Amino acid sequence: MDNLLFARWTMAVSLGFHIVFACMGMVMPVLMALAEWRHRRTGDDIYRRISDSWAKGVAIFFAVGAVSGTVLSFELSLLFPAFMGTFGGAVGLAFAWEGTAFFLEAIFLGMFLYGRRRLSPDAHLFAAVMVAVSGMLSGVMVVSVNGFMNAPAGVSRAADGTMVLDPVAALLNPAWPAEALHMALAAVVATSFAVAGIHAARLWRRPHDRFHQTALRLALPVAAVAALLQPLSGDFSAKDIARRQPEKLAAAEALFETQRPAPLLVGGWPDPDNRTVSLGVHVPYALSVLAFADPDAEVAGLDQVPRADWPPVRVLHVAFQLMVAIGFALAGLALFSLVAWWFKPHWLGDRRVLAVLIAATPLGYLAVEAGWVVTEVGRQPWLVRGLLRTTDAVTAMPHLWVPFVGTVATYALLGVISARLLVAHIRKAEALTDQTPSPGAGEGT
Amino acid sequence: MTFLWLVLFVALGLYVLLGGADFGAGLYELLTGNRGRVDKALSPVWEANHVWLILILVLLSNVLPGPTAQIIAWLHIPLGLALLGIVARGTAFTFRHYDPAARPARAYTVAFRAGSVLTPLFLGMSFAATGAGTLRSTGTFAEVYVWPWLTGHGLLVGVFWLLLCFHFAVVLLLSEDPHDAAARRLGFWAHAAVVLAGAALFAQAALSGVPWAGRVLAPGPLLCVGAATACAAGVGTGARTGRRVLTMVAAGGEALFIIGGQLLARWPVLCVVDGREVLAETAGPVAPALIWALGVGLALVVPALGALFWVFKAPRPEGTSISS
Repeated sequence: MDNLLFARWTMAVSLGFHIVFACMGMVMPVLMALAEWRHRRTGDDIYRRISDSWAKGVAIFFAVGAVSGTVLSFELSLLFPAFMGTFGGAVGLAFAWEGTAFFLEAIFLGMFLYGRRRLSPDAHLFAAVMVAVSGMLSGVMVVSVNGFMNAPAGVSRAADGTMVLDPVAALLNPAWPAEALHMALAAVVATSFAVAGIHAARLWRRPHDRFHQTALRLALPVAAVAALLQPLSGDFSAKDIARRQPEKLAAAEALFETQRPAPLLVGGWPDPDNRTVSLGVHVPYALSVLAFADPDAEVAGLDQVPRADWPPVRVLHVAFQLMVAIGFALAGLALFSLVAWWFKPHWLGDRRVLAVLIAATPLGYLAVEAGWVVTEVGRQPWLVRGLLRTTDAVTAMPHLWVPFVGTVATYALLGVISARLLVAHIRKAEALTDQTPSPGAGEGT
Repeated sequence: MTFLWLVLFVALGLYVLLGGADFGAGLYELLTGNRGRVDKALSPVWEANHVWLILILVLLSNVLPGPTAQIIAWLHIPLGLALLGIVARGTAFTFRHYDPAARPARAYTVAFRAGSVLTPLFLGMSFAATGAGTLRSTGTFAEVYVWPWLTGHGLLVGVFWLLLCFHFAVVLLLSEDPHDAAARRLGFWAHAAVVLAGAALFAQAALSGVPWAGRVLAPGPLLCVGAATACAAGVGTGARTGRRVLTMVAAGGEALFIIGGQLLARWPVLCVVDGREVLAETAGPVAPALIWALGVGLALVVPALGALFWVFKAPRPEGTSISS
């Protein structure tokens, strides 16, 4: 591999790793606040134990997310100096707001973790809500930087040719709303389904464990509501990309020729050299509807873009299919869960349902990773669309395989340790449940 | 221009006082083996302190994007190692703290201590390289990416920052029990080491012709040196008489005056590349939106941080422990 590829892979591994922990850090506090609120409402001690148990996971995920995020903000300059060197003045504002929100999240998380006995119950719940709000905000702010890369705004040239940057316009770039909404929902879907899946897995072994039953019933509705909203947000995103980054949509759909009306390709293996697709099903009109809400709309194909500027079509098509397929699968599961939750609560204890929930544990994160592949690989060969090529931005430093190997090794180790600690904490919570005499014993306290 | 200096000073000062105390605590643990005190004083969520470092990055990227990005790229190795240290110590400390096993792995402790020592060392070496006049844009791999920061001067600066962090950490850790004699001795030696390293650094910088060394004798930096010396005397008095607030304030003031003096001595030179000074005048203005963001950000963060410290340091009710 050459230096550019190592730089890109280092960035991809760093982002791919960080995003999982960032999602957990953003969404677990929402679930924690919910548990805390249920505890206040019902007085049932089980909610406090769930909240405390989740809080330990949050502390671990937060620390890993915080340091991997610090690494990311420096990596942009370490690996692609021309990006920060050219557009640092534009994207700095988003980083400043993200930093503020992130710092607030850390402060309130500290209050939440250490303040149970030191703060009034109201203040403690307030801290939980603030962790959730600021955590979400920090994620939303930093996505603006990615939105800027996809649809740069606030960039103009003065008469003497120097670049003039407007950080406010860059922050409020047009790609931001759709991306931020899609990412925030994806974080909620992925994390709450993962939480539901983990508790389902423990219920499989311990069918009558009230701790896991209650935790599952807290996480599942959150997951379900977000998963049902996500296809709508995906539609919003698709329409945005169709207008602002047509080549990304064309590559994701392996649409080699501009077509009116354009069919949606489901499955299939694209061959970019011969501009053909083998296998796969073409759904007539569907891509026109997806892109422009009009069955007769023309959808730009890759023929509108010079061959050298095509994103990698195969990678993109597979990633896009994976993301959409998981999105719809989880929306289906969400619908079923809500029906069950509302009308047939005992279904949630059924082993077949548990098996499906367990299988769904990693799916949301898989979709998040696939989605980042779509947005990042789909922008290639550009780092900032139309303004800065990735090739021109990469550092001149040789031997970039060294940081790549270091990054992979470090994050692999951190992933394994975090997972191991998570299992240990679940075991500990179960041991505690076994000591608790009967369900509802803590009620009224 | 003054605003730029002020924000750099505040960010660097807060990073050294808040983040530096964390690093120093790692060295304290390494030297004394006293885990309990460090565990009690540190909280995993303070990993957020690296935000101050990111603030410096954002600010310099805003006013001087080209040189900032280029210098970071040249300092890839020490900054990469510092980041590795940040990751290692931050995660290891949290893992150790939250590992439900009766005896958490020894590797956590090793990673926490090693990261705590190496991070300020490499950050200090990187900081030294920007002002030492060793950075060069052309040459072999070693000439561009290794020798500019791997210098005797860089090492001295790194050790000096590490000792400064260490001293401040000892003062903070001791504030809980100002009459602990062994710890007071450690504080004294840490302080002596800071003063010695500072003198050695200044002598070395002057002898080897480091660009900023001559300007230390200008009124501004000299005033800071004087104030730092007065603070150092305050630390000594406070420690001897067991007055914890005086000791803490004086130690914090000493660190801040040293940072201020160093920044003033280097001002208006932001960095030296290929032997040419990059002056603060060449930097663009700080974007008004960024000033607003920083102002609002500080207005939100500072009271919240104050509240956190208040919750954290308030006397703990009986029968509670932070790890439960």
